[in-house]
Amino acid sequence: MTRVNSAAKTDVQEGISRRSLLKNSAAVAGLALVASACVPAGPEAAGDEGMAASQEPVDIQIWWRINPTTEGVLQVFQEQHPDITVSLGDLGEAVYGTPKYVTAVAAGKGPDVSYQNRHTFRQFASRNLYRPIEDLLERDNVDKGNFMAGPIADLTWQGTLYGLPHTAGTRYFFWNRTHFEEAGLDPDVGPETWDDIMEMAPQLNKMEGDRIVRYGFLPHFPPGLSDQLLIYAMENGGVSQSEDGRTNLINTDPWVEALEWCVHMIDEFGGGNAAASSFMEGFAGQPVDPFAQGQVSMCSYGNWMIGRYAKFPDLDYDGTGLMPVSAANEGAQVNWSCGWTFVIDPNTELVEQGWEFMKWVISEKYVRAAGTVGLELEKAEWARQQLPGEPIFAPTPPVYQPAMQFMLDEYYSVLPERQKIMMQRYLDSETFSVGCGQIAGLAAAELWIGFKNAWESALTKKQTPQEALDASHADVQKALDAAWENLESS
Amino acid sequence: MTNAQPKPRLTNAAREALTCYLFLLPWGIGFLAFVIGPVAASFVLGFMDYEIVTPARWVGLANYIELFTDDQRFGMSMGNTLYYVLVFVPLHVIVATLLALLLNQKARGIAVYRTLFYVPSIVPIVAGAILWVWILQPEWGLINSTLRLVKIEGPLWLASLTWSKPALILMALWGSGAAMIIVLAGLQGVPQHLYEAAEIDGANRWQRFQHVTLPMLSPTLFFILVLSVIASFQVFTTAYVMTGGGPAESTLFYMLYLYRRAFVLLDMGYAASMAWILFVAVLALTLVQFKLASRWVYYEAEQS
Repeated sequence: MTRVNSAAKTDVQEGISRRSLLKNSAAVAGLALVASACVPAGPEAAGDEGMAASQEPVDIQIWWRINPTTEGVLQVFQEQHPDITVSLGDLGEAVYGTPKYVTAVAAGKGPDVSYQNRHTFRQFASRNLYRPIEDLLERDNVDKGNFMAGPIADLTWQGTLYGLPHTAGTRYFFWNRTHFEEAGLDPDVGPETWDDIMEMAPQLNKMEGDRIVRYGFLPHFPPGLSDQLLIYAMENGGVSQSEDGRTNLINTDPWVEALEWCVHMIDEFGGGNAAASSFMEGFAGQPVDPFAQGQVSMCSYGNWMIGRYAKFPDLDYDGTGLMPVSAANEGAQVNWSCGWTFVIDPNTELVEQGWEFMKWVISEKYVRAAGTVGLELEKAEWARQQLPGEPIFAPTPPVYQPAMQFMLDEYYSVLPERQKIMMQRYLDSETFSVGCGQIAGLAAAELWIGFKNAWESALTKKQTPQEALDASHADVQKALDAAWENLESS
Repeated sequence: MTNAQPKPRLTNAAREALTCYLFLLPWGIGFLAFVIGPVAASFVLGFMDYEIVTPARWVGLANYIELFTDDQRFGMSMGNTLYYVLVFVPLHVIVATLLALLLNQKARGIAVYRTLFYVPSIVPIVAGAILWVWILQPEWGLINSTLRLVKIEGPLWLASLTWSKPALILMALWGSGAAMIIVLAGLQGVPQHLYEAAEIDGANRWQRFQHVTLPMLSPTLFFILVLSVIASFQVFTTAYVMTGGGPAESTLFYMLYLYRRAFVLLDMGYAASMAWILFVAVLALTLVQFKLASRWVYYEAEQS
């Protein structure tokens, strides 16, 4: 009897315990999780704190890319500047917006100096996320005229310069010479117009049964970029906004025709979106692209691939910075330029040290340091991959003309002929390229999202090109109106 | 001169309580500063135009009005999220329960199997997402390659308007191990004598499951259901990493859209108002679940 009572009691206790545990846990955990919904989610915000105390040597925080090259050149910088030490932090996502930097500056905990992309530069400059540097330029007699004009224009908002351009890059049209020869095309002459592409692409396609195993041309190249639409629209004479920057124009005829052409190319010569997307998805996240692997014969990519393609000894390629244009735009020199920039946090007290670094990183001294470090890394890479021949090192071209001249003399003059030609064509294309900062304007973040949405909606046939661009235009225009209104009211 | 001892200012009980509160204080300060504070701030920000880098401006209900009257993405992202919740949550509960039933057998090496099924749930979510991008790759990913062996051409998965959400749900189901362990614990808490009694009454295997296991397991399933619904409404990381909301915004879930408004478009006030709408919606849904629980959740002790 006692035992039965005891067991029954134990059962009840267990029941209560289980009920309490589950019911109360559900309630408490539920409320906690629900409450957490009130706080907007986001990636990890600002990095380490650590504005240096004003003592020798002064430590400055720089957000850049953390890799062997940046670490190596910063070592050189510190050796040349014993009064400054550098804490290097990674910038995080920064091509189509820079949430880590924005939130850090808003919290007053930004890095002293930061790397920034020019895709969204004017939008952020207009919101005081960068320190104006006109006073520093004037004091130290740094002549803006010594920089490439396009990047300087990108970084100028209402007559004031907000950063020093470090690198620039243009779109580049590549073709595989071996494939051209196989198809009976002249390997020395690439397509100059869209009609040329449409004529060449089917000849370059390689089939296995019904399946395309080598694509002559795919417009959505490389996988993952959101700005392909921009270059095709430019090739058709499109501009993204009115001259005063107040009216978005991405649903005008040149844009619609460009998107229609891309959809047509994929449907007609790429086996349709499903096959083409499936093919391209296969390369997402891979270190090499299908052009390098010989599975695409022509592509629109960037000049920064010149050095990377050098690592593929079997890839016999050619390329140009003159993008093939539509019939309506025939004869026009078309390209766009973007790249990276260094800025100073508007709240930092270490302006002098930050400025010292910025002047160094655009100069010949940096080019030499980056060249020394880069060449060693290339040698190691060449050895690791057991590549034939001498390591080819094609350093990233700077924007500051004296540094560029130094680079041409020191590094480009010894490049193999192919890379030397490519670099010269790149420099030519910079002279007529339109900067991405000027293209994007005050609603840049919305614009890049709009490009991506329109592109995907049209290619997946969710909407017609006109509908897709109308929808993106509406979003961007709304953001643009709000940006101007805020600017004028403040 | 007197021998009377001075009366202690605090009784033992009061001293004990004070000690308790002192120990609780660090947590309390943290809770106020890092949970209650931001929650309250987000409520206020919901009525402001706040771009993070410029001073906030009071706009009253404008954010809420815009959300309901002039923002197609609000409805679209909520629709995407509801799809995810409605498909994922039932599947999650079913998969976790089936796995737990399977792993509740007295078989040799069962602990190894339990570990194997549990392991995916402790894989960091970003690492898991990247792994699944490869698994779902249409050309040579594990799933489509396997389907091709049986002459089935798999879909584009993450690049398809139709299959992108199911692909993310599939990936999320891979992490059902944590729920499976809870159900397993629940199963092992079902008193054996109930099964014996049912067996004596002539109940077959299905009837034992239906009339003993399920009722006894219902508090556990309710617990998982509540948590799954809440977590599913906040789905973010997998879509952020695997699709970025695409293709054509077919995986633009509510939290991803909220993140985009806050940290890409710098529209923090608007994002805060979105957060509060989600809070109210999920809270209401959770209360409804608690209300309905009495109809299907069986608490043994209450019956006693």
